[in-house]
Amino acid sequence: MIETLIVLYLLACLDAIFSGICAASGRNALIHKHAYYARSMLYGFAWGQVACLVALLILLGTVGLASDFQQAIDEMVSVGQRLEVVYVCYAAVVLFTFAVRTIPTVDVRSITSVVGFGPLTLLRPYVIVAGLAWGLAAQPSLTVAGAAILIAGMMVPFRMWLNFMLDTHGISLLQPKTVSG
Amino acid sequence: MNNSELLEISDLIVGYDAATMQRRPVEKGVVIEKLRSVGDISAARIVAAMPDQNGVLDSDYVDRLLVRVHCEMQRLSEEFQHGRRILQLLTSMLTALKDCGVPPPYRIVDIGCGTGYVIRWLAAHGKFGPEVHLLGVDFNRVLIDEAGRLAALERLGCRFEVANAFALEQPATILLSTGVVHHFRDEGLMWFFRQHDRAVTRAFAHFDFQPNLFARPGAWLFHYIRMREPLSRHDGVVSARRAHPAETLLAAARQTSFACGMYSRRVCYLPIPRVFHTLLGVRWELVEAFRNALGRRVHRLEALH
Repeated sequence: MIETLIVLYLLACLDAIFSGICAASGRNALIHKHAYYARSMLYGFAWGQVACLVALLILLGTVGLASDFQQAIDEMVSVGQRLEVVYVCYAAVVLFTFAVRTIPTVDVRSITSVVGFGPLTLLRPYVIVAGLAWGLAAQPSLTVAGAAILIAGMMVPFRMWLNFMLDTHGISLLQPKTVSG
Repeated sequence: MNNSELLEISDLIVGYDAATMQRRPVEKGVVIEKLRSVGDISAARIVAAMPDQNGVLDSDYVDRLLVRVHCEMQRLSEEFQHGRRILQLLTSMLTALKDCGVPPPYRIVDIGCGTGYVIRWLAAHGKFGPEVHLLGVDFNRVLIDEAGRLAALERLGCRFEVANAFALEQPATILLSTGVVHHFRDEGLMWFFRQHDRAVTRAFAHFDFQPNLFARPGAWLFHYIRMREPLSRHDGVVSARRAHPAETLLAAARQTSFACGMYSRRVCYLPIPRVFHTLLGVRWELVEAFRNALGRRVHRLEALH
């Protein structure tokens, strides 16, 4: 059980970090912005921890509500392992695209955007839903299924949430006080 | 709605007096009516949602919006390595100028530079000597002010001016533009290229969307994913749809005294079209040196004539 939880936590952290980059992109017109993107990753990671905490509370609540908590845990593990399969595949493709992008060629880097990052960004919510569907195919109890839907429902608009926060509060959080790009 | 009727919102919501380059107030109702008349109801809705004062578009709002839109556009340029792409080409042009004994300084002018991404990127990464002067020009004072502010923040060696690129006190040695040429249509396009034909100007490179089967869905996909402002999404897709085919660009450019040709239309040797194609012009006496300076990238250069 613990392995599944750790893998899903790491995947959520990775998603949160990339979501931070996505939400911060296109808001800072400076040329040199490594520090800005590093902060945007931390920003995404921090909100990711909040999301993970909420997810953990949902899971604990589900176990608490279950009449047979051992069965609820077993079902969660079964659903979680199925989620893992889908999300690990997606994460592997994303990481592979990053690896290709390190090749210092203008064309290769552009191609990673056209055939990699662009479509992968578009696919992200569908991948979350696909993972959920695959998880629910294990036919867990209604409470476990409800918990899975709640958690996935929270992760789908996660990037929108980060965008909303940056729209509302600006990007001052993501850059040193002396610089306003 | 055919492609020649398409209108970009950003072209309509700011107006300038051509002679004085002073800002003119823009009637919101007129813009909405123009967009409706070409059947672009979604664009009309975007403009209708903009604030106005007594029917005149709120210029402060429009300015802030355009700065945000240019910031979003810069994201795409960064993703597609546009700065590096221009630098590669520019390096070959500058080498050709030196090899042919053209005396410095070499003034590189980016036409319609917006917030100056290309010029700032070149200033940050170009490693040019003092003989290369980088200048971005645009009619929009707010965008130019923003470009200047950003360059100052990073202490970049470049300048930005509200000016007509073809009426500069010190004319350009090399003219550049990105996503600008499709704004000129028919006789306007002819006029645009005629302005290049000054003795001091030795070369030009204009980057713009390459029209093909994938351009429209591709532009839609990327602007939908990467842009947040409805205006960015709308104008990005319209730009791709309005882009001139290579034949139109070459026909217009070849009325000048430059040797003109397309550059880098396909990815490597593959039949895959690039998002942007490049219209190049170089003085005839520079052609050989330029081809040599391109090195292994010379295969990207099509016939110059």
